[in-house]
Amino acid sequence: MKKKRLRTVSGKAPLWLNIIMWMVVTLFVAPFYILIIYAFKPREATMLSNPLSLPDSLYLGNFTEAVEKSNFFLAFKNSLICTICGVAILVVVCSMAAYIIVRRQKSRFYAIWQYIFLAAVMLPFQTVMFPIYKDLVSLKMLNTLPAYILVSVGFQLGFDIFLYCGFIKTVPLELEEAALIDGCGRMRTFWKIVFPLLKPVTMTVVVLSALAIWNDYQMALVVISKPAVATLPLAQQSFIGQQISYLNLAAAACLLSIIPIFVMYLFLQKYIVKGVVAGAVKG
Amino acid sequence: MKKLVSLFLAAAMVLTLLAGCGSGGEAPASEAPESNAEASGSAEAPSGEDTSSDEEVTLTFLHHMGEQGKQDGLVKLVEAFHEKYPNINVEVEFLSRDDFINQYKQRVSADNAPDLINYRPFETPELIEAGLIEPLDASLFPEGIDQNCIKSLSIDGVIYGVPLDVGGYGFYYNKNQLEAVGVDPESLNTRSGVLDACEKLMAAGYTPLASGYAEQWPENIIIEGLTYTGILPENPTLFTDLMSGEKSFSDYPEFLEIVDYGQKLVGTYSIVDNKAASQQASDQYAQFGRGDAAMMMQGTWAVSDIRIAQEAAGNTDEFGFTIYPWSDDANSNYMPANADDSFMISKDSKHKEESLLFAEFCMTEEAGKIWTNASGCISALSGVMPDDADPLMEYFTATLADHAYFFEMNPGLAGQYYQDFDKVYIEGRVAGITPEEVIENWQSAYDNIRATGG
Amino acid sequence: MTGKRKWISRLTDFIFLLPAFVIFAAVIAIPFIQAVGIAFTNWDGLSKTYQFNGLTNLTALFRDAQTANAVKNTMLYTVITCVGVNILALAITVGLNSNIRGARFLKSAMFAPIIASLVITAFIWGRIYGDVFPVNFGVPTPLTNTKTVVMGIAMMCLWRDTGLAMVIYNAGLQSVPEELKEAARVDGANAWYTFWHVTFPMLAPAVTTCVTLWLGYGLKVFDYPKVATNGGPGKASETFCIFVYNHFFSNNRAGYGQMAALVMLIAVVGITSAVTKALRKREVQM
Repeated sequence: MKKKRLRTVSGKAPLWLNIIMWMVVTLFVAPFYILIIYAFKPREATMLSNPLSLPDSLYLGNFTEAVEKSNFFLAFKNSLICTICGVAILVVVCSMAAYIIVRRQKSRFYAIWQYIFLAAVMLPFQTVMFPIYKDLVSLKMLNTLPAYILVSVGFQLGFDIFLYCGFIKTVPLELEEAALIDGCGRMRTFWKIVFPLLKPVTMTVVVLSALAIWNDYQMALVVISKPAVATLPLAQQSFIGQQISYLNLAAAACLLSIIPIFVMYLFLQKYIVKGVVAGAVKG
Repeated sequence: MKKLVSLFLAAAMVLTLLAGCGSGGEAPASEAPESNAEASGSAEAPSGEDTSSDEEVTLTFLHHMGEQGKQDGLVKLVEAFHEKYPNINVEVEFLSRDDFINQYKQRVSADNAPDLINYRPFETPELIEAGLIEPLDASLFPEGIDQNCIKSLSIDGVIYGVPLDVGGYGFYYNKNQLEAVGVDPESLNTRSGVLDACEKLMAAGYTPLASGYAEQWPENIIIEGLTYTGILPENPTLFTDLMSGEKSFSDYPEFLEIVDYGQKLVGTYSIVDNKAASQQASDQYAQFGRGDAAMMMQGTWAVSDIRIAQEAAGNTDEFGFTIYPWSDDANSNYMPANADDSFMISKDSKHKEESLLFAEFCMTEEAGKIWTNASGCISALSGVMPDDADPLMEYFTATLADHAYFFEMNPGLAGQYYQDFDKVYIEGRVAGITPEEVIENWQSAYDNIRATGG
Repeated sequence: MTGKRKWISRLTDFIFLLPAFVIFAAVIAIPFIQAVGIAFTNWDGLSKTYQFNGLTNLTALFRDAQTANAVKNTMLYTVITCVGVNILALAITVGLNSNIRGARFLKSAMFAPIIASLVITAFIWGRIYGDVFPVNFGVPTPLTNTKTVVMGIAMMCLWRDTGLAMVIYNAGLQSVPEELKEAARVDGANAWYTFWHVTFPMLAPAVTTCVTLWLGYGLKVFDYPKVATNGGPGKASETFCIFVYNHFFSNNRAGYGQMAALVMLIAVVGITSAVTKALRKREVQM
């Protein structure tokens, strides 16, 4: 109540600021216009010299052709499996690890792990690219989705633990202490009491990890290059590579791949803002 | 809180469900024969490779052909082959050219080499040196095939590559625009003729040459093409001498002329206005096809894309094609030519016999016809023409027959030497430095590679 | 009895860490140790055999004239993106949080570029630089000029990453108590003064986080120059990661490339931790 009153006192922003902000944001969104108009133009129109013109009519042929030729639904399914499994594993594994790292901070063993995981965030994939490939071949796991899920989880691990650690530090101890005294085991206490409290940061982890896995190209290229297991970015890149002079099809394929992640983003975007509140910032 | 827990449980259930259907659905029909083949391959290896012909076998063909026509061609070739040998499947796998060599080498060093790879010996002498490629018997190739083409797929007299088509690069020109400024296409057969035409076109307000030089390869083929026809024929060991340090770039005065010429073509005549400075090779095709530029430096493979752009823009100009002259002596100018799309067989292939059968099949007239019809490329087999050939096809085959130089019959540049040859040149052209400085930079780049143990 | 209990409790504690530990070991630690082994050999990436060659790769790396070029490009890119992303994100966040009409919608819109994959970013900017710049603005594409190419690639990063940094700044800004700002305003401070002396110090932790992150992202950048120019024209946008990647297989010098990767990792971790430390110190002073 008090807050609300104060807000109204601070007043509306001046007109010029409104205009500038709207312009800046428009500038950031505008590039998508290109993707959209190319996706609705027949190929001949993309070869003319007025790139920004609106298409004469909404030509949908690109989409059907792109779906057919780029094996869209198979790649879509692969992407979905990898993203959902990867995110679920990340949430479970990282929240647990971060919890113990924060709660046992006084133990040197656990404190060190925080730094090790943080260093892993800085590790360029190229440093371990080849050994990973070779190991997967000898384990006969190359071109399998579980292997890809494992690798992408491994590379996202550090960042997610970092987010969780920052948030868990702000979670008060009283509740779990009461539960522990009541005879709840540490594991039970964590899942019953602590984990629900982590909802905001969990949502952030879900969104950011899902984006990272859904959009990953580098690791996918090394781990799952066969068409049968390829994820969307891979299928798309190879599709674009195979259609070098079919800009319209490439745009249509890109636009299609953006839709599911855009929907997820629409539903969860409020958490991106909320979740990190205490998470990353009060590190 | 309860809601959250149930939400999480629901998510976990969805997850297990999906994971379940994932592992079940992971091996769709398309993958089944492959895993099958892998299993039979590993089972077979110790038993001495007695590949009986009724066993199901899947070959992997790794390629980097970006054009739709070629992709269709590959599919049709594989289908026709499968009809002949129902027990052999060929799985065609595409990788973009940027990633190709890295991915291929990664696979080789992890003992996972594809059976057939879309490369030529000249591009990757290191693969042959490392003993990764199967030598081929001359009897595999029919008599009608151009012997120079076969030579260009050999190293030290041993054949390694199987050609699907041949091609070369030169100037496409717009007859109407040349006519409008009073240039006779015949005069394009010397260097000064080309420069003179560019000058006249520019003075009359035309864009002399289509651009597209944000991508590297359209410019690579200019400097490479000039070197291949200007210096290499007289100095077959040019590249090995430069790599070993036995000779330096300044030992070949022709480099000065070539660099100067190449810089002028791209730097002065291609980027005359900002409209022409666009990005990719596809833009280049479109520019020329629309009639926005009077000439274009490109390969024989570009013709079908040019036609599409031409039709889309309703451009009725007539196009021609001529060779790419490096000197003022018309008699010493050739079209740099090679067996553009070729493949080699891995030595470590578990299905060598079947791979050889596929190679043999590709050398039949039937396969040649399939390939040239679908890809629009010039078949490596003489006398095999596509059913509805582009008017320019006549020029192509005539030039290939009597004015082409298959430069790949000489040893090529390896690894970093090859990369740096193009990169140093392009960087120099972009930065606007003199040809003398380019030659110095080339030399210091090569010295640097040697000094750091490359 | 208590000893046993203690052990059980220690074991449960470790079970919390175990899954993360196993995945980390399998995906990062073990491959990393294998990679270190390769760095001290002359392996060409193809042969079945190779020899240990001690520190030859390391000394060669410091003698290599190309190293300096890669370092220079990486540094330039890192400075532009790290400074650019942070200033843009901070400015836009503060702007959007000052009672703008439709601020919620604008915020959502600002985050939209995050969802574009690299493949899509490359496509979109390929067309912007290739078509829109020359045809509509009459400016040639920055990607074909050795002097502007790094700037051009950095623009792609600014477009895509600003939203992500805004996520963190937004969170930080919401943790600034409204009362504090109000108090400053009541004291007669203008908006500028309030920002610098009230809001910005409260944002310091967010600044530290973002600067560290984008410093790290910048130093190990690979994707953007790879898809935009493949390191060209010439080597004008070859970053250190591309340098490593090229040596690995294209140049048949896997051992050398692996050594370069190792040196890079040490540099990245060193630089980012030094900068973080310095920023944290400043945070306290503020």
